[in-house]
Amino acid sequence: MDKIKTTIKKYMPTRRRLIQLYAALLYNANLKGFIEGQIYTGKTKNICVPGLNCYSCPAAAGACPLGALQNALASSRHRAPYYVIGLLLLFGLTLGRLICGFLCPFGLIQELLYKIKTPKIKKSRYTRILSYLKYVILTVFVVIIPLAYAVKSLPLPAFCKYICPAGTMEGAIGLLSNPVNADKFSMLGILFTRKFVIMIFILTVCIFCYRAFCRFLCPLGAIYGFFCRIALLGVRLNPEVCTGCGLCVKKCKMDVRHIGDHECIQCGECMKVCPVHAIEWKGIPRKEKEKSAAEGNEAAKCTAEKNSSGRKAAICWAAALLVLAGALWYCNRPTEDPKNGPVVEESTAAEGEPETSSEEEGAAWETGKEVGMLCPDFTVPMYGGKPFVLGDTRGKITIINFWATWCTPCCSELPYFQKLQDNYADDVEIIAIHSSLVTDDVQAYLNQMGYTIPFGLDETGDVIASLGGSTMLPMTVILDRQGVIVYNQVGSVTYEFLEAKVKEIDQ
Amino acid sequence: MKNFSKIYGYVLGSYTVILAAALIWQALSIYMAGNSAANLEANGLYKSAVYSREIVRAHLQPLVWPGIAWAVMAVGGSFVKNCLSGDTLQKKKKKGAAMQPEHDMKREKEKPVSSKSSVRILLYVIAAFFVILGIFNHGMRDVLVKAINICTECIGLG
Repeated sequence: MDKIKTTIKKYMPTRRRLIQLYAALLYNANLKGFIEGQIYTGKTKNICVPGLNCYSCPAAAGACPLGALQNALASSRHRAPYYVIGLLLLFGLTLGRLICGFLCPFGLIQELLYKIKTPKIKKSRYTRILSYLKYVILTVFVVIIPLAYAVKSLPLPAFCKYICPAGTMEGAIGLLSNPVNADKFSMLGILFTRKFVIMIFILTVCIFCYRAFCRFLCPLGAIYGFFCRIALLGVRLNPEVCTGCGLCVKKCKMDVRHIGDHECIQCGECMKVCPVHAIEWKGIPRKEKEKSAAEGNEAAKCTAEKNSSGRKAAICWAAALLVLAGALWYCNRPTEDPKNGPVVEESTAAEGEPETSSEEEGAAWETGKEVGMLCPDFTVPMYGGKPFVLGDTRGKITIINFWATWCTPCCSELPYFQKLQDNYADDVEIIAIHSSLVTDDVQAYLNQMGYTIPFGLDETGDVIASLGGSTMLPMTVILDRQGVIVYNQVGSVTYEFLEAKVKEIDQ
Repeated sequence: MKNFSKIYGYVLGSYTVILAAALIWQALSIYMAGNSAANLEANGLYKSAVYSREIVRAHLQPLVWPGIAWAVMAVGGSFVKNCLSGDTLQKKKKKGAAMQPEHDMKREKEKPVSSKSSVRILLYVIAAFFVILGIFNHGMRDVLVKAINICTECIGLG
């Protein structure tokens, strides 16, 4: 019986593991997103979660602080990034790197990978030197590049785009794994290949090296590391009790020099090895402990502590489970709110009753969003001009581009549309429609860039929805001279591609 | 027994590296095949998409069974090691206790509590002020906008 109990105990998750699982589930409470293949678009996403969790993950119910910080810095020309910096300050001051140890889903993944029984790379002076790499990444990819591109009015979250394995795993692969998004495969290219290779490399290294991403690459950990001395919660060393044996540092798998430094993820594993119990949680008042220890009333102390901490833990867990249940219900509840519901459903519903329009010549097309269907007519207000009516463009090849100032590839491809307009002004009608979600002064942006193509605004988001679009940008739709859709895809386009399509239609 | 466990670890480690390399190779081969001359038109455009669900499935198909075998080995490895070397943990503990410290312990140089907490309070006030300021300058709305829309390039889709 004892043997069974010991075996069960051995495989039971620790309290820290349970908290990590809890946090991962709470951050990713929108479980139905995996079934629908759509991301969550509810209001909870205006709050950042403390850990690294990609907001493009279909299940994510909150925003990623690192992605939000990069985007905020990228648009800092128009708006100071007070909100994200304030949130990071709050997280750092309260929890510090305790977030890495307890509240980071990617940290949990790394720890689980490290559990695989393979030979391990132990910490050394080389890993310690490597641990400073994350500060370089923070400076270059999170701060300098987004700020440098912000000057050119091009939002570029460089860490997300070039490195983040969480984004590739949760966002890209999370979305692509759903058959609903099968058409999104066509936009994959060098960027995905490179990020996929980086992700596999990082995850493989994590099997051999404890929390390799956290230790060497994670800029979020680097940010929280700045708060190690003043964070409200975490571990602390009692210098009066400590004998300086160094077991805690030796046992720790992170590159710590002393307990609670900027590399310490506050996991509390060192408490188990300290022979004199000199390491304790910051939340527990030291005076009371010392007092009771001095009194020598060990038995009474133990019973009282056990009772009170057991009761507190039970209350905490009950409250936490209640919050989790609430979050799961809130995110997964059936809703008819178009902003929370999957946009695909809307467009499918619209598609349910296809209209049939007759052409002048007598040919008939079904109206819809698919290639070969007649594009549904729409009217959008323009930036500086009369409203744009799609029906007025019949007789010309029409290119509808959905974009936004906060979308990097959208801004990068606008010059191609401008060039096409310049070269094919007589044959091609181009309209660039800004997303309903406006964060910057679009008119000021257009004035600055000097584009002459017509720019409209999809005020309600109905236009992009009617063409099968949802939350992904950029999106380009090409219509032939009769208004029939010949191309409708999410993803970037090049000038060569657009020109080839125009020539193809004319042939 | 200990040797068996060690060998198992090395085998699993090598297998992991090989499998990861195979995954990387498959991704690269899809990309290379997509960008080969056969798939490019004269103007540099692709005849067919580099990636598609079918292409990815075809390339991953040979790795399914090796992947399952790896998962079984990875999960089973934990049981094997625990079963074969039940007393290793105790030995390690004893060994650990007898170890001499290598690092010089840097005692936590604690600042006086009052100065630390006053810095903390000041920073909390600044943080709260920033958050409120961010709500009013629409910074919070910006976070929402970016979080509910997918910038395809930002997650590596392209």
